[in-house]
Amino acid sequence: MRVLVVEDEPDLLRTIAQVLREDGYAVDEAADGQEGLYKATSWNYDAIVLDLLMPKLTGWQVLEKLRTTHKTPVLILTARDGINDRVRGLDGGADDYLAKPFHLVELKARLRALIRRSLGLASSQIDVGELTVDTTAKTVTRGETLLQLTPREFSLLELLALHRGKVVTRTQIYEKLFDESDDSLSNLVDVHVSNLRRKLGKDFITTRRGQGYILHD
Amino acid sequence: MIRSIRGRLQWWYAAVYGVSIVVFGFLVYWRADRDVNERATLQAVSTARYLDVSLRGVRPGPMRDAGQMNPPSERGADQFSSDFSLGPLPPELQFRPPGARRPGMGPPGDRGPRSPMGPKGRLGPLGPLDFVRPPESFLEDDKVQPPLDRLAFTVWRRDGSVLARSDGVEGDPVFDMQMPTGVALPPRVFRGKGYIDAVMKGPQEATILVRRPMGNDIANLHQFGFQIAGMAVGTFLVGILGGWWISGRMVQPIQMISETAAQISAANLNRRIDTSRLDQELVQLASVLNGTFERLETSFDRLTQFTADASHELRTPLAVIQSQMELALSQSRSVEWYQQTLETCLQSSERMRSLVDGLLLLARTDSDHAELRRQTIDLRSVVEDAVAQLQDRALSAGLELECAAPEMIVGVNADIRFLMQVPVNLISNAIQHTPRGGKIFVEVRIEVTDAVLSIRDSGCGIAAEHLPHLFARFYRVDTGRSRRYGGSGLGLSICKSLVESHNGSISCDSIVGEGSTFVVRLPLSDSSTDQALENKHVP
Repeated sequence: MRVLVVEDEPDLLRTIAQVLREDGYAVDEAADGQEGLYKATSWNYDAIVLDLLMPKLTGWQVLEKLRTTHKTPVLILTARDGINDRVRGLDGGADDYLAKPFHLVELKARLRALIRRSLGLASSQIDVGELTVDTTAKTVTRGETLLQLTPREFSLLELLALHRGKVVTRTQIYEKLFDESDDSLSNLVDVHVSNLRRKLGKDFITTRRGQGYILHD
Repeated sequence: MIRSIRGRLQWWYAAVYGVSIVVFGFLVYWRADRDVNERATLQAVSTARYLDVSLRGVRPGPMRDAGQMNPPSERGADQFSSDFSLGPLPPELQFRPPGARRPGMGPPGDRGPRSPMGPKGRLGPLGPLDFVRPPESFLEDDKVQPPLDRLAFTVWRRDGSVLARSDGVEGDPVFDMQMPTGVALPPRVFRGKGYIDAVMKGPQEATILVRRPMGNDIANLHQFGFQIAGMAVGTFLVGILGGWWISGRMVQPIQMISETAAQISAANLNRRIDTSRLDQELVQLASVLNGTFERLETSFDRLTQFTADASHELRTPLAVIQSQMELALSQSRSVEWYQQTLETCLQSSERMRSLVDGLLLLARTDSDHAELRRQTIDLRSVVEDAVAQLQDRALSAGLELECAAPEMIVGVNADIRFLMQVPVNLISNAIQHTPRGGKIFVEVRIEVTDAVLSIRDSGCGIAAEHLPHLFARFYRVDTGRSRRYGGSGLGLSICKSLVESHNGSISCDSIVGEGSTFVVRLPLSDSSTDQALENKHVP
């Protein structure tokens, strides 16, 4: 999962990005509206966290311009909590609204819900054969046994599980797993895939040479 | 109801209306009563005169009384009607010599009942006293109006014996007429209960009395009175109902105004009273109310905006603190991590503190100017202190901060605790908005009776569209930019508030790309004003 955080308060931007990274997201940061709009339109993010009062472009303006081309789920995170602000934000194309100050757990939960909705999932659990991927608890169980995965391994499995039965290209994996600050070495994906195979068992992930990977039911 | 305008209007209207109806009714009744009485009196008096003339008609020596045939002006008659006159006498009453008695007794005599007594005159000392025409015929005479009640008369001779008397039932009190005594020669009128008497002296000191009973007339009059009263009550009721309706219509716009006013609440301040349907007097009231609502809405909006801005400014650092803490506590971190978290939290709380300080200062200058402890202070030293205090910051920002002041004392009457904020805020502002390598020039000077502090920077300048709002609370030229510098958006509005509480003014000139100049004007203290004026004369 890859998200964009647009926030002009540097400390807050750093904190939100940090907590989302620890949660296994690939996080891109933007410090003002213009940068935010540029990044939001150049990648297909799974979600965007957007502040409203920012230099250069306000959150409303970013949203208005973004909505002409992209359907990316947007969560507005702002200190303006008047009813009018909320209505204006939601009507302007935002999918959720959270007022500052906020709890990080709530932000994370709302982001998960937002992404789940955009993927058309009914629950936070994805069942693939005897594997159960819980996107909320960030756990994977095979039958009764709980598997120990690193956040990045989990994200990779989550991505494959969401697209189970379909080929996921290496480019897609790069886009969703690594943010702009990661030094994306080309064999990093192979490393994670082989680690996953070791932990899950060889049969789950199949390599389609020249195309990508696929997770079978 | 009594205290309501409509109720009072109704009461007063009813009172005035009722009184005027009653007065009008009485006037009409009085007038009718007078008419009836006058007519009856006229009938009685004229009949008495006819009787008198009829008696005289047979008198041999008429000369003496000739003047009394048509008395020029007599009290009895004048009392009732000024245009009282008998008109020309009927031909049979014209004077004739004796012997030619009653030649044309024709129609009046034939008609009407002849007196059973007839003209049975007895010869008095001066000759026989008799009527030329049967006296009853005069009762039929309807020159004036046919009487409703029959007239009655009695004529007495000098000795008190009855010469003639009209028909009537014996014992009927109407006709039981006593001979009046001491009656004057011209006709006199006496009013009794239910009748009017006309009495006069006839020839040979005969006494003529004509009685006009009033029973039917009075009954008619009473009936008329009841009719008037009935109509008055009816009119009054209709009038009261009409008045209630009219007063309701009058009060209706007031109700509309109060309904609109009642609908105006904190959540719905944009309603106004529709003045297009109101009368002129109420339009004024409504406009005054609308103006009040307008101001209320404006100040309420401003307050809402201020609250929203203030909470926004406070929430942002609060959000930083909260999320930092939460992140730090979510798992075990390194010591450096905790240190950095605490540092960030400290910065954020510092920002909140300065914001709260600013808000408190604003609230204080807003609410109470009397709190200022004013004394004469030298503006130069205040500004020099501020410059010294900020010199380090300017240097570290790579700026040149210069200060110029006149030789003489620039005395202003001010509270140093508050005034110090002004140059400090303005200079920090200039430092924040001037790029590295720029220059800030602070100058104190005297202009006539003003102490002037001007702060010029070579910063980015402010676009003209922002200048009018520059001193508004939480106004930001570039949303979010000043936050990066740690500003609260209150600095300039605090300056304005402080300067104004010292009876001064603050303004800003700016050219984009060249820099801005803030100018503060404060009135010089009295001693400095004298000195300044003196110096002006010396060179």
